[in-house]
Amino acid sequence: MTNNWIDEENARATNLARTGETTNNNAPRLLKATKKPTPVRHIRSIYIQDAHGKAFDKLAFEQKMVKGKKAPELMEEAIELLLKKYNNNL
Amino acid sequence: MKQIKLISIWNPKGGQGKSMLAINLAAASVELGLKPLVVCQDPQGTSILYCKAGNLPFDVLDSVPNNRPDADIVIFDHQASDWEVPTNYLLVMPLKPARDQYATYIDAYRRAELLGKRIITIVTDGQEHRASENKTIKYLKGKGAFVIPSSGVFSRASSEYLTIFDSRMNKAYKVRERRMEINRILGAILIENKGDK
Repeated sequence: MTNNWIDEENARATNLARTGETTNNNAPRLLKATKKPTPVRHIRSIYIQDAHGKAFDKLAFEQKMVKGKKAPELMEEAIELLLKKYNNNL
Repeated sequence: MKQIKLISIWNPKGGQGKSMLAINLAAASVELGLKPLVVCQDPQGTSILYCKAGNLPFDVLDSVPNNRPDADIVIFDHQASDWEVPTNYLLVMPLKPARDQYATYIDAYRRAELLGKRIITIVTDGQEHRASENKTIKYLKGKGAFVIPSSGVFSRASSEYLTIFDSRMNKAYKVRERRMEINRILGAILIENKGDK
């Protein structure tokens, strides 16, 4: 049994796979819109001075204006920096 | 914690039988007493349409769940034109045995092979009486592929959004053979121990 075209296609596919391209690499490609899962967060209350609270609120507001990080993410970043400073991990 | 078997039904070529396999493999696993879950990753939503018709004994989700689902087997029904090799280990790749269909399949297969995936090939809608298809089917069988021949059972089931395991399909011509073929594929999937769960 001859497998002429199968052999041809196999050889073509093997070469193509090495390049990482598709047969028509210029065609528009499907882009997957994958949602990043939201981490589970809970409310934690801590006593801090008003000045620190106000400064944090201001920072969170400024970030909101530039569509940057949100307050929970900023607080998590602050905690990560503290942990690093005191040689601790999450 | 219960182990969940993850399977991706994948082939960038459309119309090869990805959704048909997804819902029928899920139905076959219900027959075995397992709890399957189909995750439809296709904007066409073929599996979702089957689910909405209300005849499926399992759930079909429209996206990947955030939390670990209560299921024994999760089947991802990928969309056509998706050239990104699925991240899980076990892939099921259906294809029709014509040359242009095979060309896309083998391109995608090689990509997955390079990433060390375990690939189960299913030849669908094959017509062995046609010399050209027969040759391809024989070749793929020799490479370990499963074969589901062209059959009216599937079109009859799809006309009512049923799986071929639905009791309403019991009198369909050669339904037993088609069920056995799906069961054999499920068996091959289930005995595959390596990989992500």
